Amino acid sequence: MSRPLLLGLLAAAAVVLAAASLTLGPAPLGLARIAAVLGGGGDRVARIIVLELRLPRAILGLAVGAMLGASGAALQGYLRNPLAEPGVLGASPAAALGAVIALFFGFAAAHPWTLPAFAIAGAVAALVPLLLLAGGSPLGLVLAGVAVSALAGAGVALALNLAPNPFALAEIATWLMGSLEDRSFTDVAIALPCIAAGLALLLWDGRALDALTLGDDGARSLGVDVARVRLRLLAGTAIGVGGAVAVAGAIGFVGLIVPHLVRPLTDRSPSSVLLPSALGGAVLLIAADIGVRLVPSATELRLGVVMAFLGVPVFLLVLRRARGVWS
Amino acid sequence: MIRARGVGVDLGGRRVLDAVDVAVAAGELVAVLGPNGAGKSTLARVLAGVLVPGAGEVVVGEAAIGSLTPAERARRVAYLPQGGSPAWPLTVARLVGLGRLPHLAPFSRIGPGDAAAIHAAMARADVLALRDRTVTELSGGERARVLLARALAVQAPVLIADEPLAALDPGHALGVMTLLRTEAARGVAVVAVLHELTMAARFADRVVLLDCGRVVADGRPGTVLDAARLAAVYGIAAWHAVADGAPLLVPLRQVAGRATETP
Repeated sequence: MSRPLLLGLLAAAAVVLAAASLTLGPAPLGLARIAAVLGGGGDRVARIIVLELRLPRAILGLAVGAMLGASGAALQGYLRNPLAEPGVLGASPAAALGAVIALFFGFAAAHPWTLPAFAIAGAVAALVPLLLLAGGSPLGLVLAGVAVSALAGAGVALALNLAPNPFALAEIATWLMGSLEDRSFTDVAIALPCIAAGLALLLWDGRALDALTLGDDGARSLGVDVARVRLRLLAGTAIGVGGAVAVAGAIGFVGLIVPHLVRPLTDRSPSSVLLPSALGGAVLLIAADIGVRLVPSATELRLGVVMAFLGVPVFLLVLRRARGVWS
Repeated sequence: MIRARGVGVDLGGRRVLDAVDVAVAAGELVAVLGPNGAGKSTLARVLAGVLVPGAGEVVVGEAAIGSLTPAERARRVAYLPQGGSPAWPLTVARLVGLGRLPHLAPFSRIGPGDAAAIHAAMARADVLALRDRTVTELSGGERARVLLARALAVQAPVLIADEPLAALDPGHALGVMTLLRTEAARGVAVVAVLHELTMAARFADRVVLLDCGRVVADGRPGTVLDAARLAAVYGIAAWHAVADGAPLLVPLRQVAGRATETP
């Protein structure tokens, strides 16, 4: 598939799904009223529902999905490991731990920015051991990341053990499985700058990631400063994923599967997978968020759950078709 | 064209290269020989500028390699690392195209000049017929030639090839040596790390013999690869002969006389 066609199709899918997302919610609004609001008019009730409740949710779905998809693609490219995703380097679990700490100790109640700040701080803190140990190979980075991930997971489990009441427990669970329920433009204002900065850092290095196809030395001989690429990549992942987790919780799997879904439609070089993965992540996440609201249940399903049910079958089909390539 | 002066490298607390001097002129094909662990690949990495030596310096043309920007260095010295297998299932043409990265301005696309360089590199390495194949599905010999084509696509005045003959059958090995010879004839300074004594003796202008991180001999193959040195450095006796006007060296047996033992 040609690149403009692929990008065009993914962008169109993202727009259509985002529009569909605006029509969904507990309050029934006719398409005509929604269209009127989007056209700049509309009645007051419809304006509040669409612009203040549903629009932030759609924007966050697109942005968080784009960030997770792009970081998965960039990390797979840098680590030359098709298993890589932001969770593997500890970024999303550590961000979730930051959010849980803010909730658990009651800091989150102090100010709307406290919890996201803790989440971002968690993701950045997870980088420190990686950078200290990162003198060596991609494999060393993955091993250190797995250790950080395990530690963050244990911290969250500890918080669950000690949680003072069931409400705290439910809230902590939200951060573990992800949700976009009841998000506002405050959340958008928190997440978007982080995600924009993260995406910019990740998309910067497409060519260096291509060169790394030849290994560290091969890339260096093509003029790539591997240490700087690693720094930009880790910083971009921490800031962007930290911002995403801060508003949506830790949504696993997007970063892992989206690059695999789009790669066969590209020339399979890391640089050509980056942008389609960002768009594909946006499409997948907003589709999952629509699914969350379509399934009738007493409390809204968690995004991570729907994501897995939606994504895994497709992922397995892609793997089946790609048999042999990973030999 | 490229010159290493007093190069010393310590890796993991071990002296891998010690006061190594090597110079390769434009148009010259120099083979770096030596037993496993002698420091051949480390020397190749230092010459390619991907490893900064603890002591000494490398000069390309007139400039110290450390004073060049990474992209300038990459345009002057092409490097074929040892035994690499590409990480992603790219097409052959796309992989060879990576050699043009040092020439591309940020966020610009491959231009007609780059496309011509890619085509020429694939033609010289005889991989044009493979251009749309996936590199991870090629045979070892095909992949080796594709990776060599990638290095040629850089069109650098210096080419450093680390064990370009590993995993090649005799026919392809001869093909690669002929190609390196042709590159030298085009004016490129070519350094090839080799294990194949006969290939070095027949194709190289000069042989640099390394042992335990030091240069033990540097000169014409016929002079350097004599019985005493082969015994001292490799611990072997070899059968010497001449065929088609060039030397033949066939290892016969191990002998006592290996002066030092490398781990």
